[in-house]
Amino acid sequence: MAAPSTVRRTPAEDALIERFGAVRAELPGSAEVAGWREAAFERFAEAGLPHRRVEAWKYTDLKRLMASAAPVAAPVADLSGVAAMDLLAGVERHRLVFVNGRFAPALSDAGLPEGVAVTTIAEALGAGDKAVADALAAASAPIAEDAAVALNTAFLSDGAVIRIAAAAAVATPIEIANVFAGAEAGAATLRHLVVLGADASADVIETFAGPDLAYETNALTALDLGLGARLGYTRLQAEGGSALHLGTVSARIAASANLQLFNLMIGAAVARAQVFFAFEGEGGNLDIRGATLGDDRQHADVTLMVDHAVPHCTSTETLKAVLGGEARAVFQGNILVRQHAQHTDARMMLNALLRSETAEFDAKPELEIYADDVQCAHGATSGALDENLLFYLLSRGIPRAEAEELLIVAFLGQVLQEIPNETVAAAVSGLVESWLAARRGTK
Amino acid sequence: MLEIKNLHVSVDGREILKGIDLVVPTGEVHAIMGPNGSGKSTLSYTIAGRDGYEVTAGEILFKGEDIVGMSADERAAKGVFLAFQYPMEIPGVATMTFLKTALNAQRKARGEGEMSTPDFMRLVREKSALLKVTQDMLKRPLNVGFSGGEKKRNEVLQMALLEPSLCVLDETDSGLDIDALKVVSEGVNALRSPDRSMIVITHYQRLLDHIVPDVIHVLSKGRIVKTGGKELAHELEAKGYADFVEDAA
Ligand SMILES: Nc1ncnc2c1ncn2[C@@H]1O[C@H](COP(=O)(O)OP(=O)(O)O)[C@@H](O)[C@H]1O
Ligand SMILES: [Mg+2]
Repeated sequence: MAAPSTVRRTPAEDALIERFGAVRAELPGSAEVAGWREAAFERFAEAGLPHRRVEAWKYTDLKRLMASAAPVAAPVADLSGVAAMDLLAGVERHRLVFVNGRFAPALSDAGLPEGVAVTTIAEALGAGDKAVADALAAASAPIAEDAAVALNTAFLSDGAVIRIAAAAAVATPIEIANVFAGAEAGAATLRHLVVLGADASADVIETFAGPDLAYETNALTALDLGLGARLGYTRLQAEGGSALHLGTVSARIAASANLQLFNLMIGAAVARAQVFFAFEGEGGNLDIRGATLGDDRQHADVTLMVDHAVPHCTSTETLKAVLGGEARAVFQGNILVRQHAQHTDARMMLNALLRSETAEFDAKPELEIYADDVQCAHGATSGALDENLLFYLLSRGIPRAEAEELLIVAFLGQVLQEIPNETVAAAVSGLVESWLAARRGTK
Repeated sequence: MLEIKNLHVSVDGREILKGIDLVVPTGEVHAIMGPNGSGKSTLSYTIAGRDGYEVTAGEILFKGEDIVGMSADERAAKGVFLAFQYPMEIPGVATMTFLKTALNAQRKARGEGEMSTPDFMRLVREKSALLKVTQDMLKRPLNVGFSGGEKKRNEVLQMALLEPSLCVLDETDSGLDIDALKVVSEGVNALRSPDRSMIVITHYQRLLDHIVPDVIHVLSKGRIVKTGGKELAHELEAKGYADFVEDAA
């Protein structure tokens, strides 16, 4: 174990060190995998939890926000309660369900759409599958310095490897459901890999749900798009209200590939979704949209790192937050346009709607531009609902709560309406509307 | 229908309405004319219940009940309707969704059931035909990109759908060309009924050639300075407001 850092360790850091000691021998994988788990944990233990002086985690001080760390989640025998935690009930999709960090075949759909192959990570690592182990290592190598990534590498227990064959057009969305269940808080650590061959096209939805327990989810999803591939990736974070959610998306796309990413944040007490994105060929297109809804004392951080390393790529980021109570939303967006990335078109817009005086919105849009022939723009706004518009709705007999919700849904429309697949988009709008309705009258 | 007694209203601590007395019996159409800044919109917002329009004295009796303490949506559900001088544009809310939400909210407040979608569609089709509101307009976000005339037709369409007992029309003629004025006036006239009262606010006599009022009031500097029959409009047109304003001074 590493020597203690100069800063005194927090109870959560102590608990994480204890957790690793307790489970390191049982985690799946070969000696090589165990080696990189050790190295990752070493790195984490050395630096400790990120805090406000770590620039990338400036607004999400985990040393302060993470009071304790739960032990690795125990498996649940009774899965009957899990069905109720389906965020997309009624939507036609192919489901892969993970409960407490383990694949649950009984809850997952058997049979796969044509052109899709799925392996689970625990099984592959258990069988000594070198290709999967290498792919897992490659997914985190460029971002290994990040604390959430290091913890993910150390503890990952299971996940899905989804491979879409070249030129396959998968019509039915594939859902990776990350569910927490049971009555005991625990920690689930998952890593998923989604790989699309050249010219393949698919929609993948990742969902996060659980009960009102202080459980922890650390999930890293790596997206790898081949030449000309198209992926709609919709991420719905609706964890239980006391949970800690650390989510990482690491994406690389080849020339002429197209990634449309939607990120919803409505759950958890403390949540961070960080996206590390790299263009690896010309003509790539990235569209990130997101909606964060926060109330009470929720803390939700969305951090985007977009690397324009090659010319002729476009990226747009449109993030919206609706905050009440003492909720706090963080939007950090860093767009790096490297010297050779001429003809880059990059646009970022961050907007927040504040429903209380005590809600807080921290926006840090950053453009780092080293190329000279580019189109880049960014902006951030925050404000309250427009009283003039509200009065118009009230004057037609629409009660205030309903009128506010109508305006909020309108505010979010720009991001909600663009979710790939109409039935999924409708289901997400439904999630947002019920989230708002559940908080009616508490303002 | 409406009885306003000694109404004083302040906005941002400044008194705008300085003792209005106004009685509009059921079934009558009253016009309120007055120069810019005389307080016409302030009166209409106060009747509709806009926040920030503070009633410092007096009362507003609607069907015998003082509505001063009621919120705007309560008043609407009871049958008060304001056609805005400047209708709001609301991006992201489809006009059709807005109409349905408003109608059902009012029905719910009155203890009636929600209207089914087919019944609602039929009703909208029927009412929108008269006002020349197209299906395309109904699909667009509320008032966004609507021309001045389209916005005003949309206001009168809402009035036709919601069937209020008291209609307050704030400068519904402003920004309309003569053809649009005719369409809007026809829509308003179709809603005249022995059970419904209207207050038609305007700066110009022109509108009152199309919507002929029973009574005309002249508002100046927050007070009603003259009340008369429909011939008052022509007198005003000929002489201008200056005479009346001076009479009052
Ligand atoms: N929101 C407001 N805050 C302060 N003063 C206002 C406001 N609205 C209107 N006023 C003032 O009140 C007076 C009456 O305005 P208004 O009712 O709009 O007149 P009209 O509709 O007759 O043109 C004007 O002097 C105007 O400047
Ligand atoms: Mg006015």
